[in-house]
Amino acid sequence: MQNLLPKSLPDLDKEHWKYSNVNAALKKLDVALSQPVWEMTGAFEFLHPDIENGVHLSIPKNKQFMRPIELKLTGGEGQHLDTKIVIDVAEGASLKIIERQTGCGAYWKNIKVDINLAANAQLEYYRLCEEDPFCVVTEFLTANLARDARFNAVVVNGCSGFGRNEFKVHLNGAGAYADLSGLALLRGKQHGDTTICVDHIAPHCKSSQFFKTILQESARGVFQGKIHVYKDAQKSDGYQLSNNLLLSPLAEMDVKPELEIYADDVKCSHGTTTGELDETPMFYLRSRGLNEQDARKLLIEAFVGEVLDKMTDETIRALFDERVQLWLK
Amino acid sequence: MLKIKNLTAEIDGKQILNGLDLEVKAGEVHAIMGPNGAGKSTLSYVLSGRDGYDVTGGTAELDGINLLDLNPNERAAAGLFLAFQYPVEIPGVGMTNFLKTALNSIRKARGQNELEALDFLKILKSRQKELGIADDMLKRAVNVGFSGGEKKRNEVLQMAMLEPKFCILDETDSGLDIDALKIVADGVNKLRAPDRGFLVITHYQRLLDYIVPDVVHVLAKGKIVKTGGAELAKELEAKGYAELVA
Amino acid sequence: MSEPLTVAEQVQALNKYEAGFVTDIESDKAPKGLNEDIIRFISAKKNEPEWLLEWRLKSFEHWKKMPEPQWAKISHPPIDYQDAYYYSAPKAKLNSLDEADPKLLETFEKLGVPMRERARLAGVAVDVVFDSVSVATTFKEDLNKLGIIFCSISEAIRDHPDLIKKYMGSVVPFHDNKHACLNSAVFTDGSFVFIPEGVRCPMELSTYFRINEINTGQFERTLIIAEKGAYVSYLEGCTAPMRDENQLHAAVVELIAHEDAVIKYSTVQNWYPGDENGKGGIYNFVTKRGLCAGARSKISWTQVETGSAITWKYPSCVLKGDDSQGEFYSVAITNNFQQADTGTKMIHMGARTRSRIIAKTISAGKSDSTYRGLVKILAGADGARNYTQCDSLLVGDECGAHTVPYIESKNPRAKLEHEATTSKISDDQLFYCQQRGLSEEEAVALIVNGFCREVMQNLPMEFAVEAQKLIAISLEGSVG
Repeated sequence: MQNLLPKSLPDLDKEHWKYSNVNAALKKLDVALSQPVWEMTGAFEFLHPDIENGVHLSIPKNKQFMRPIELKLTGGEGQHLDTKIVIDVAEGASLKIIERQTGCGAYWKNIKVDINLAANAQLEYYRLCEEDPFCVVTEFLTANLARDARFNAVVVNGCSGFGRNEFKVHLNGAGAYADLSGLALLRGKQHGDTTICVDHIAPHCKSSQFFKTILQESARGVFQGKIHVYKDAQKSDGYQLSNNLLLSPLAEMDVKPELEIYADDVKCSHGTTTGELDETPMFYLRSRGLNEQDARKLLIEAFVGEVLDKMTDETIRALFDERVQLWLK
Repeated sequence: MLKIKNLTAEIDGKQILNGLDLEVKAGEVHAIMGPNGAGKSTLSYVLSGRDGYDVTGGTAELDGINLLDLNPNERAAAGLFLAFQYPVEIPGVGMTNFLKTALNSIRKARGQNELEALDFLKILKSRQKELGIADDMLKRAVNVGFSGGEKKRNEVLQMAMLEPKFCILDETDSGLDIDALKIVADGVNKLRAPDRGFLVITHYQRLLDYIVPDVVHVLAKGKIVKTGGAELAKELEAKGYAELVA
Repeated sequence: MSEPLTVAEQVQALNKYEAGFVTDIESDKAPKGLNEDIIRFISAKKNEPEWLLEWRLKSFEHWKKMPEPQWAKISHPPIDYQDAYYYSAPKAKLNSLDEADPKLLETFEKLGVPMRERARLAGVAVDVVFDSVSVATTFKEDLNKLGIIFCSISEAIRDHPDLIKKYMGSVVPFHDNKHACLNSAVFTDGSFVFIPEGVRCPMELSTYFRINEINTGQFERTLIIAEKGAYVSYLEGCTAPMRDENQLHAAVVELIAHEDAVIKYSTVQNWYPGDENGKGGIYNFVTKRGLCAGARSKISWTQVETGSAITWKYPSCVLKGDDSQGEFYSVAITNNFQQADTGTKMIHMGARTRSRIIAKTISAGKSDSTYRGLVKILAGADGARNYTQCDSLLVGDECGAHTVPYIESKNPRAKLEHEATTSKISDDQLFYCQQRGLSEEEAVALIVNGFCREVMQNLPMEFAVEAQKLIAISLEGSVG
C-alpha cells in the first residue's frame, strides 16, 4: 500500500499529521488508479487543456464573471482518483467557483488545488463535500495572493470516512486578504481533519480563519490552524476562531491553533471553544416553551448559520443551506 | 519661560506648523484656540517630542534649554508636562507604582535623591487630598477602566506630583461634562504658581470660564493669527473662527 | 579508557572517607563522562540501598536507547554527555550555615540573597543546594514539630525509604522522556517535602539552587507529598554565576496532592542565559509534573523564566481526583539569542476537574519564545473545564513569539476555552511613559511588568519583588 502514495500527497511530517493516520486509513481500502472525470458547468470558455487528469481554468484580466463555475467529481467503488485543479485569476478579474465532491463506495480521492490570484483579483471559492462514509479524501489547496487580492473560501464537509482538508495560503502582496471559513459535520466513525496554514509574507495583509465542527456518535474531528507571520510582514492582522460542538460521549475533537510570529507590529489572535451546547440559551429556549429537541435544533442551526452567513451569493447559500439541513435531520 | 520662534513642523511630509511664534512668561496662563486641523495637537506633540512629528525649522526653549534637542523623558525632566487629550491605558501597571517610577526617574535626572516608599506615599496622600481623588483610583491600573472625567483628573494628579515648570493641557475639556470640567479646572487652578507657566489648548471657550487665561491666541493653518486678552475667547465663541481663518 | 579504573579507585577511597573527614574546600568529583561505573559511584557515595542503584541502572540502560525529544522549537548542537561531570560535592556536612564556606556565602550575597536575614525576617526555611549536595537545612526543627519533613532527597532516601519507594517515579516515570531518564540515572540531590494529613505548612519552603562548578550538570530531583487536607507553598529560585560553557541542567520535580490537599510551586529561574552573542548559557531541560491524586486537591504552578540559553520545560498537572484543580501561571522572557519552549500539560481524568492556564511570553533581541501547551480531556472527565489565555509581546523586530496549544477533548460535557494574542508595546504607551519622565528602557520594563501582572500576583510577596527586578534586568539592551 505504501508505494501507492503518489508524490502529490503532502510530506507526512509527524507533527503535521499528529492526529490523522492517513496510512492506516488507506490500508483498509482496495483501490486502483482510475481516470478522474470532472463534470463542469459554466467553465468552458476559461478551460485550458494542458492538465491531463484535472482542470485548468484561466480567467483573463479584468474579467468579472458573476455566474459561478461548478466543478464536480464523483468517486466510485475501488477507484483511486489522483487529480488536480488549477485556477489562475489574472489582474483585476473576479470569479466564483463551486467545487462539489460526491461518490459511492470505498474509494480514495487525492486532490490538489492550486489557486493563483494576481493583483486585485478576487475569488470566492465554495466547496461542498458529500462523500461516501467509507472513502478516503485527501485534498490539498494552495492559494497564492498577489497585492490586494482577495480570497474567500467556505468549505462544508459532510465528510468522508477519512478526510483531510489542507489549506496553504501565501499572502505574497501587500493588502492581500484571505477569509477562510468552514463547517465539518461528522458522525459515525468519520474522521475529519482541517489543517490550515496562512503565511503572512507581505506587510499589511489580513487573514481570517473561522471553522466549526459538529461531532456525533464516535466521530473524530481535527482542526489545526496556523498563522505564520514572516519577519517583514509588519501590520499583519491575523484572526482565527475554532468552535466545536461535541454531541456524543464517544466523539473526540483535537484542536491545535498555532501562532508563529516573527514581526513585531502585528495584531494576531486566536480563540477556540470545545464542548456541548451551552446550557444557558438551552434553558432560556425551553423556558419559552420549546421542547428539548426543538431547542437543540434551533441552537445547532444558529451554530452552523454563522459559517453559512459568510457566503455572499444567495443562490449558493441556498444550495449549501439545503444540504446542511439534510445532514442535521 | 517658554519661547517658540518661527517653528515649522510636518507629519509624513505634510506641513502642519507654519512658522509659529509664542512666548509664555513664568506665572502666566496662555490659551490657544483654533478650529479643527489648525495644528493645536501637533504643537503639543512637537513640544513634548513625540516620534513622527518632524521639526523642519525654528526653535523652542524652556528656560533657555533647547527642547528640540532632547528626547521625551529629558523634556519631562526639564520640567515640561503634557496633559494628554486621550490619556493612554497601561494594563497591569498600578497607578501608585507608575507615579513613583515617574517621579523618581525625574528626580534622578535632576540629580535629586530618589524617594523612599514612605516619603513618596506622604506626598501622594497630600496631593490626593488637595485634589479630592479617591483611594480607589490609585489602586487601579493606569487609566484602565477610568471614566473620561477620572482620566483627566488623573492627568492633573500626575501634574501635581511631578511638579513641572511648564504644563500643556491638550484639549483637557474634550469629553467632559460640566461637573467634571469644574473639578479638573479647580485642580489646575490650585497648581497655578508664580514660577509655573501654562498653555491651555482648547476648541471651546467653556473651559476658559474656569481656567481664566492671561492671554488668548488663535491658531489657524499652523500659525498664530490673533492674540488678545481673555475677552477674545468670548468673542470667538460668539462669532466663530470663520472670519479669522478666511 | 582508563576511566573505569579511576572510578573504582574513587569508590575504594570512599570507604576511607567514612572515618572522620577534615574540611577541605576543594570539592571532590567523579571524572568526566557517563557510564555504569559513574552511576555506581554516585550511588555508593550516597550510601544508597540496592533497589535505588538498580533503578538508576535501569534508567541508564533505557536512556541509552531513547531519542531526544524533537518537537520543541529549539536548536542546539548535539549534547556531548561524555564531556560533563555527573558528581561534585562539598565534602563535609555542616551543622549550621555559619560553618559554610565564606566564599559560598559571599556568592549568595552578591546575588542578593541574604539567606540568614531572609530566613529570619521572612520566616523562610532555606534548603541551600550548592552544586549537588545540600549544605545546610534550616528551620527543620520547627517543621519537625508539625510532622513536616523538609530535607534533601539523599536524607529522605536514608531516613524515609518507604515514602521514597512509594512515590519516586510515580508521577514522572523514569522512562518519561530522555531528560527525565538521565536525571533518574544520575540525580545527585534535591529536596523532599512531606506534609502530613491536615497540616498547613506555616512558612514558604524555599530552595536556592546554584551552579558553581564548571561543567557540572545539575540533576536535581524534588519530591513533594501533601497528605489529605495538607497545604504547602514551595519556592524554587535559581541564579547562576557567569559561565562560558554550556551546562546541562535536567531536573525532575514530582508533586503528589492527596484528597483536599493544596500544593503551590513557584519558580524564578534565572540561570545564566549566555552572553549577548549567544555564547554559553545553561540548557535547562526540566520535567515537572504534579498529580492531583485525591478529590478536590489542587496544584498550582507559577513560574518566571528569564534565564537559560535554552529552556525546555512544561510543568504539568494530572487531574485524577474528582473536582481537582490545576493551575499554570507563567512568564517567559527571552532576550539576545535565548530560546524558550515552555508551557504546560493539563490532563483531565476526574469528573468536574478544572484547569486554568495564563501564559505571558515576551521576546526581545534575536530570541525565540514558544508557548506549547496541551489540554487533554479524557472520556471520564464529565463537566471538566479549562480556560487558557496566552499573550505574547514582541520587543524589537528580530525576535519571534509562537503559540502552539494542543487541545484534545473526548468528553462532550467538558468545556474548553482558549484565547491567544500577539502584540507589541504600543507607541502611545511608550510615549505616555516617556512624557512622564521614564527612559525608554524603564518604560518598557514597566509596561512588560504590567503585561505580566496576572502571573506575578500569584508569586509570594518576597519573590514577586525579586522577579520584577529580574524582568527589568533581563530586558536590558533590548530597546534603543
